[in-house]
Amino acid sequence: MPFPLTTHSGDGASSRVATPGELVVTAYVPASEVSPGPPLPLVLSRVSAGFPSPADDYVEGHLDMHELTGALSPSCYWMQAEGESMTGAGILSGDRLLVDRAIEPASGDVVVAAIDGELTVKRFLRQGTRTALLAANPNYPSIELCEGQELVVWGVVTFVLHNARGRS
Amino acid sequence: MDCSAFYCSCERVFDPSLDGVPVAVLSNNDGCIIARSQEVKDLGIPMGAPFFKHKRELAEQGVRVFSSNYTLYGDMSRRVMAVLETVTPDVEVYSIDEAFLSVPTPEGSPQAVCAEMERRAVEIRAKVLRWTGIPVRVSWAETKTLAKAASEWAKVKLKAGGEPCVCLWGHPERERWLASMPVGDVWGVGRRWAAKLEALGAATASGLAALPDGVLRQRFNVVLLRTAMELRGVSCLPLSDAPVARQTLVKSRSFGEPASDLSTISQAVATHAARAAEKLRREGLVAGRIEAFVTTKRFGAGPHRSGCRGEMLGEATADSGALVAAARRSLGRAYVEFDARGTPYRYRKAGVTLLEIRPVGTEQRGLFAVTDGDTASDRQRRAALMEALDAANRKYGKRAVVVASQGCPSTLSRTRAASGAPAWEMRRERMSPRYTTRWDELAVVR
Repeated sequence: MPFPLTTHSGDGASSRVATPGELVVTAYVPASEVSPGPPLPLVLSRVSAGFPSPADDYVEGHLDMHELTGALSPSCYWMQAEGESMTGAGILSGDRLLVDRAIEPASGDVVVAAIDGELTVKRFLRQGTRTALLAANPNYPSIELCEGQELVVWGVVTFVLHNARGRS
Repeated sequence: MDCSAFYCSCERVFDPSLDGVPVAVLSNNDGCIIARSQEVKDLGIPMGAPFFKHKRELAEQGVRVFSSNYTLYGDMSRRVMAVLETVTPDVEVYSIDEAFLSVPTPEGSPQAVCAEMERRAVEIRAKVLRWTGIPVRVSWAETKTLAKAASEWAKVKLKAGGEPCVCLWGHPERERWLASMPVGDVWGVGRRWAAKLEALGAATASGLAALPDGVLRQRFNVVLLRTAMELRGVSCLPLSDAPVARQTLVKSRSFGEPASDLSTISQAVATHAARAAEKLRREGLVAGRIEAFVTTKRFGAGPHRSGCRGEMLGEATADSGALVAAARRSLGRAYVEFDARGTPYRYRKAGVTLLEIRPVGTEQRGLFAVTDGDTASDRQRRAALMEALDAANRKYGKRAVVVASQGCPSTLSRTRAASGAPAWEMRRERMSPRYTTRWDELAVVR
């Protein structure tokens, strides 16, 4: 008893009956419609003697990095760390940082800030009237802000991408 | 919504050393000044001024000058528009730095509505600034043309140190503003029409609104009548999600250095044709005619010439192969190597123009198969090939897969040492990094 299946092609759906043993593609996206978003799950299972694979009901898709990090938000930007000033915060030279401009910086956040016309990455500290940018490495100086000095926080670092095999 | 000095703002987002410093951006090939920060405007350097004329003055004034980095500007524009879409789903992107938003009007007296809408505008401006670093003006009114007039007012407010946000609807000083606004500043009124309107005694926005319909129809056209209606508060230009389909498409560029030989110019023309074809496919359009043009400088030493030839395409198409072949044939007829005295022409610019553009599927099919490759299955295979070509170039970069006549990096004549770009590729000596689209050009933080 053949099992009826639907195949989709670029010109709309057409129903036909698959023969046992035939490979059936259940989702086809024309190249022009491929977006940078998560890929669609592609289920390829042999139709064996008319029974679908028991795993087909449990397809959930992929682990999506963008879902985890929110990196596709228009407020998120990638930057690259240089130097050793934040090694204590797990940021090594050459690591890529995901920086979110939409987040209001809280004391203790690692932030990107503009100091003397340069972008710097430091830990943001606010205690009462004291505002400071702390390095996470004893060999590097921290920056204390005087009364009335305004600090421009560019964004808050939300994720660090480190290549464990070193930089190539 | 309008971005203020958008290209300059984009440069400033990732380079805080540009804060409060005058910034200017140059057109393709570093020719003219196309964007000026407020400080540069205050120096009195006009829009579109040739760069070489002002090079020294700009350097003396400490102006930071950039080549146009459209990759960056395009991505930042996309982000600005995406932030607007978090505010309202009704966003019409009008250009790289302008958009129209539509929101339901709140309840209350005109003054109360005006105050509430100005408060919302300030909120939207703050959100876009925070998420993208781009300063924008947000202005409301009941029609697009009035909203653009409100935007002009917002400019004035910004200069005076206020928030650049105006709601013209219900504003007590609305009439005064429209009466003081020069008619040439009205959205959609060009310089020629402005002169003609002034001669008729309609020198301001209110003056244009007050002209009788009959006069507008007889002396001008329905477009200006619509503008006048919009100024009276009658909306004639609804928010459209789909912009008007284009009628023509031009792709051209100046060469980095002059070229005389046909093979170099041919590669440039083939590339422009291929990119134009890509753009057609992206927008679901086909073209019925293509023209190729090539020009020398118009002034200065050496013989001057500009040639343009074109041909009708057997059937309207967006196929890279067909358009490139037709463009190269046209160029062959438009190109002349020597003038009458045997001096070679030094060409500075070449490009293609696509005409008779219409949506795909509306083109006239030939009655007879003129060429091989005209059967239905051949068509399908060509379309699939173009799809694959576009997908590959999206994934691996613009010149990953090319039509052979575009030339490929290994066979190019006189490549530029810096970039490996072909000799006819444009000059971009002052380009900032493409901070948001390239892993190897990210902003560096220490």
